[in-house]
Amino acid sequence: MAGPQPGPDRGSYGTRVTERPGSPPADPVRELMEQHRALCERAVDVLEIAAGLEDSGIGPAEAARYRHVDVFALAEELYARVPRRPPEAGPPPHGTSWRQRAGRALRSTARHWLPCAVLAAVLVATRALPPVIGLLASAVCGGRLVRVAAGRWALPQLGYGVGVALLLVLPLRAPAPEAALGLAAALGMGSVEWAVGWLGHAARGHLGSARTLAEYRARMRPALPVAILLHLAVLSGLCFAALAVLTELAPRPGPAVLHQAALRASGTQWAGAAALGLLLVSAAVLRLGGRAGPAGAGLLAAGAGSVLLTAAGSAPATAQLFCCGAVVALLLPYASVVLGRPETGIEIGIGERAAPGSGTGTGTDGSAALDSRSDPRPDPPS
Amino acid sequence: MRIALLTEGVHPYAPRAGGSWCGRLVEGLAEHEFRLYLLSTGDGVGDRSGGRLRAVHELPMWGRRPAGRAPALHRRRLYVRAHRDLVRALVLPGERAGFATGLYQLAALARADGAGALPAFLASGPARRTLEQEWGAPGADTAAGQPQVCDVLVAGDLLEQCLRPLAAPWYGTDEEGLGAVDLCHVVGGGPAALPALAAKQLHGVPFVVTEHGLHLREQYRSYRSAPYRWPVRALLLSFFRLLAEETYRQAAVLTPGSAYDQRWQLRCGANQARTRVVHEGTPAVARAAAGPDPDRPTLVWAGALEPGRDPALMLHAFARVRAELPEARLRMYGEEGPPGYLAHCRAVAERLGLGTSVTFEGRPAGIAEMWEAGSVVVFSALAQCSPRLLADAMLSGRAVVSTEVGVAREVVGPTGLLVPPRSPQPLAGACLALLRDEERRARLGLAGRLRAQERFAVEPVVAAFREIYLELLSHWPAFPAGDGVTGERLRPFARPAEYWVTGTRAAAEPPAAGAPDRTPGRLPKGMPGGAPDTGPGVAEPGALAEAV
Repeated sequence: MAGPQPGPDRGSYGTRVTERPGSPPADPVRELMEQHRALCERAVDVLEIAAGLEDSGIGPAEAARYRHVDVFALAEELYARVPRRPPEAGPPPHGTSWRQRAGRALRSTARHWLPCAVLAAVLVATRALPPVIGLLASAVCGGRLVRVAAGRWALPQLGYGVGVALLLVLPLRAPAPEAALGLAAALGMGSVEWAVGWLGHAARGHLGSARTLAEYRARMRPALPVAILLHLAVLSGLCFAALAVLTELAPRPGPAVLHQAALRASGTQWAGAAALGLLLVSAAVLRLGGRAGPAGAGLLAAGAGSVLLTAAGSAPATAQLFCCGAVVALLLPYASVVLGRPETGIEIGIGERAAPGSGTGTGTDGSAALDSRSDPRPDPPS
Repeated sequence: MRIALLTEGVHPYAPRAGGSWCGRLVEGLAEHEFRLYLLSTGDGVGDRSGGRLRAVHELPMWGRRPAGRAPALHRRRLYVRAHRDLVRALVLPGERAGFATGLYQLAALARADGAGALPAFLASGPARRTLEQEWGAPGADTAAGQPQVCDVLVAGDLLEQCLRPLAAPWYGTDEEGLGAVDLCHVVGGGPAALPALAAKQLHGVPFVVTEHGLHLREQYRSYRSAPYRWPVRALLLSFFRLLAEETYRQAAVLTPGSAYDQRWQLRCGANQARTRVVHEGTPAVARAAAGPDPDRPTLVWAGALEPGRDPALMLHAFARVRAELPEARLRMYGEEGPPGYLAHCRAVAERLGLGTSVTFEGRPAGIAEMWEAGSVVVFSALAQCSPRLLADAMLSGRAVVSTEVGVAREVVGPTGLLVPPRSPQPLAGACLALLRDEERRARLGLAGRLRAQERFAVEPVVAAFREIYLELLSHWPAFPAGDGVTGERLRPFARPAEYWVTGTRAAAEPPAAGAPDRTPGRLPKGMPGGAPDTGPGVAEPGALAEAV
């Protein structure tokens, strides 16, 4: 860029020859062209070169020395003689590293699982005591879960948090196999966090490298199914492990431990756990994409529906399967549509980058950051 | 006359804070009625009480998109077509003429569908697809930069923010609307001119554009260091350039703040006959001249410490001055621009062996004291876009040495010494000549003070605009907005100029029954038959002559 740059070696004033040599060179503009080559290559039009030349102290008098009537004519010559060479597209923006994502997933696991484990232990320990104590413990641990899941005290986030807390606490109050599955689901919150983080990472990468909107959409299309399948695989492993532990703790007569663990939960219970996992991951994707409202409403509806159905006498697993399945049928297509939109990609990328590891949640408001990123007045004139 | 002041930025009219340019204009033209239409930054809603302003309308321009529904499906086709015209004009060199068409179509659509529809459309998928198709098209300016998805998103977002004034709820002929004013006055250019362009197209209201420091040039300068990729920069700068060209083409009168700005405006298609330089008035003309010279010969340098101001040149020149005149001192006033630049300047001074004869004073306590501290004021900048600081220095009565860049020649003229930029030897020579010759110094200082007092006084500005307003409306067809209804033929000079002067509010209360007014819907609150009520400050014929 034109103008003296700060630096210790700038001593040109001392040695500068102020008078030009007696015979003018044949092509006086060539020297100027070399001086301002970067400016001319990057310029979008003649006026940008003119503004740059004026900023480096070239006025009408100096332009006359280059045999031009004014700076604009000089800029036109430079624009015509220097080929445009826009700066190369830089490397695609760095997403988060897998270490960061794994660390975040582990922290999320710990923060969600600890209240659930405490609650399960209290419920087991106080089984003989009046149910009020159990309710009290549920309320306390549920409150902690709301705090952890919501992150911020805004209405949609609060709905999200309450929904997560209801859905995680409810199975714990049910009989043994379901409580074990509930604990597995709480452990699975880390897997949800990891899946969402990976989606954001993929969205950022594709946003930086895709050429067209259609290409971006095509690239993002398989991302959500892959993330969900991975999450379900992890979740089923966790469920199996939880059931195996349960079988170890309270063995039943019959075949080997592992076989028994698989049979410990009925098909409805397995399906309910899967529906819960699907619901949690689709809601998390929606929230990260800036759609915290629908995500919170969906979770809240599923949680409240499960509570009502259980209170009405339905089996907890059936209630869970029915409510979560119904909400997933709505949220999952919506999430896949939202994920295909490139503006969501920006929000996800920014939300993911801005998401701190501590408890303030991942759903930072992406669009505000987008606005600050694209302010048409990058450097307002003073 | 009812005048709409259109401007961008913070509230420019603060009655207690001494007043800005708009404030001085409003105070000076007490016989007219001003409404302020402000494109604000959206964060700080300033003082809404506008002093003498009749109304203040504010539109948050930057930041979060206003809530609104995208247009209905059957109307979306029209939006897409207008948007396509606009984008094609921005990226295809052969389609520049479509810019105005697209812009006015979008303005008409936005007005029909209410606020929020246009921003919502511009942020929607169809608008993005249009942008993507057009700017990757063969032959497009932007194709060379290989636009990507993120560029489409960022550029779409920026365009949406820039076009927001088209969706402002300001159009219409009711009391609030721009259709009900007689004249729009755009201060600053850029997006602030969009409502004026739309009002001219919709209601036939003429507009004046005042620019102090060209908006377009500032965009070129600031986008150079913007964090956007090349295609985005190309698209946005193309938008600003075409907008400036359309503004200059449609404006009834252009009043740049200096001949330097005027050259840029002429380059962008302004008509010389409708361009008139009105210098920026400053209240500092009333200040007393600086007192006696300091004991030691002292040079004062003022301006932000940044490469564009070239303080290094000053230091190199001063080293040569000091070699000749060892007791000379240099005081550098101004705050650090880019971080670390002050240290760089100190290092340069150290290397030149200037020692304690150079002091970096930072921000001065008062601007008058700053000039008083020296015997000669020196400007070594590579670019001088605003005459403000130069004029202020000249008003102090100290002799001025300046590099010959930007506005320096026209502001300083024969009352100071002009040297070529980037060469320390002539600058040192000019400083030495003045430091050694007290009589010449005093003579040039006085001449400079008189010149600045004549050119940069506030009253000539006010008088110039009083004249421009009246002249403009006197040969503008009478009641252009009402004409479509009555089918009446537009006639210039249908009213004497004084007809448009509003007069005091009390005098305007009884609308004269026998007034020969043919369109009662747009009755200006004046007195068509009687003698024009000249407001305070009109009876100064000399002021008009002074306004150059």
